[in-house]
Amino acid sequence: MTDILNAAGAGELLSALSEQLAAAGDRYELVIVGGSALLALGLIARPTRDVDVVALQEGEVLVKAKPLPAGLVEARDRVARDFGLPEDWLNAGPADLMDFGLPAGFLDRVHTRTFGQALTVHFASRLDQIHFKLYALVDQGAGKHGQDLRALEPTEGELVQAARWSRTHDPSDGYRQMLEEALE
Amino acid sequence: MQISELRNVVQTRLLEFVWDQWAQMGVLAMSRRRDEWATDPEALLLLTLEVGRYDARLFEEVSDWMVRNERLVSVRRLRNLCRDNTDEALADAFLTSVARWRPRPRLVGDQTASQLEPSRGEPFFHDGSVPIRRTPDAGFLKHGWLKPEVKPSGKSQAPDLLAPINFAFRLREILGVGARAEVVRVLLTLDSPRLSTQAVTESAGFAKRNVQEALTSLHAAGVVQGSTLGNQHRYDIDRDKWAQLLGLTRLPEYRDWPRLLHALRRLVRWLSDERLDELSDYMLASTARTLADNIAPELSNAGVRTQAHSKPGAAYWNTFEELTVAALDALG
Repeated sequence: MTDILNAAGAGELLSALSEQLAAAGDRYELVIVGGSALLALGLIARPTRDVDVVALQEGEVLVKAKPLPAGLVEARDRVARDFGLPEDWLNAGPADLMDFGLPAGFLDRVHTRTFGQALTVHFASRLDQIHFKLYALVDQGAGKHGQDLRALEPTEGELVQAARWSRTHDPSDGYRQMLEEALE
Repeated sequence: MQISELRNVVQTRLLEFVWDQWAQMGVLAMSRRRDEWATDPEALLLLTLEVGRYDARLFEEVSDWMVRNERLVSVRRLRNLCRDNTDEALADAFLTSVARWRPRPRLVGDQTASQLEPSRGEPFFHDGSVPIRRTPDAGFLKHGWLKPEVKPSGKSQAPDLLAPINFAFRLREILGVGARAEVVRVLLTLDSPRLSTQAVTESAGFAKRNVQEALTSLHAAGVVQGSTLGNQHRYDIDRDKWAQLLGLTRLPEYRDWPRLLHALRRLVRWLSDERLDELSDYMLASTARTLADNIAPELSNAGVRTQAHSKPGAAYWNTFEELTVAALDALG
């Protein structure tokens, strides 16, 4: 898949998504992590290929984003058609992070932006992105995750905190060994 | 181009086209052209019922023409060419209205009287005019439309059967109003050898079974040649002999009117929705793209070049304008 989004492009797409949702009488609050969230917060400059939705906020509760609701998928697909994007430009790829829980205090740290009348987006904070990027780096290898983690310039304390959280997702000895190697 | 401007362009071009066609078919109007194609009367009538909502005089003159010439029009084919509920309602209202002045069982569709209070109906004509001192037309009121009942002017003429545009009527006079005349029209005007039953059916406007029966009969009578290619029957006609029989040096041209005029019907109906004026540039472009995706296959089949590369987001509106102009240009 080719890179499709820069910061301005992501904003245009999310505004378009909001208009499609509003036309259908729908409204959503999305929790977004990954490259598009880093772009939106100005923490990286590289283009990214998709928007990763980890959860939907319903009232005070976060609900796992997988599967994405039908109304959201319909609106997303219209935006994909209108901008010539692959349909999974907005996806629930990282939603499994919800299975073992997000870092404590996650919701208190999100950066919230509204796009039009029908879409609110909560972008994961820098600290939480350090958690996710470290986990992804160990789990999937360096590459863009290593590049993003370096761009976030984590402190030693933040890395230790992230490492502890990532162990709750994978307590295996193999993961621990790879984590130690990555931190070295 | 703003949507209001595009709306005006489409209305103006379609009204000019429709007036010019009917003027060559016997409606009281000055004809500015003599077209070399054969019209499709029922497809043209369905378009007229839609664009005539912008021009009451056109609507009434075509109604007058229909009262005089209804025997040349296939009610069954008209209903076959309807593609949605609005088409069906327009056709039924029109036929019921004509039957008021020309009582014929075949014209009368659903005879249920309107339960609607005239004050609750919506104006039929898009200029918002409603009958105030005149009786509402019962045929239209049945479908929720307020339109004054107008007595036919009696000014329409029978079509000049020697004019190329009226070729379908000439064949109907020879072969009767039905599938046979349409099959022969398609075979004579569509300059393509060995047509399949399916290809003939798509333009004939009758059910495949009726078209097959007509082809079989015409083949048995020796006026249509048949062959088998693979597992498909193919049909040909001796165009020179038919031209000689009809006293023509040149047969009229074929146009895929059912597809082209249906696509334009949908376009003008879409544009008539004033809620579009309230949409953002992006949403207007998005809804336009949805319409274009739906009508592009018909336009493409009718020979209109549809865009291979469209602009993204709100910029798609420019692509849509180009498609619209190309579709209008296909009218000649």
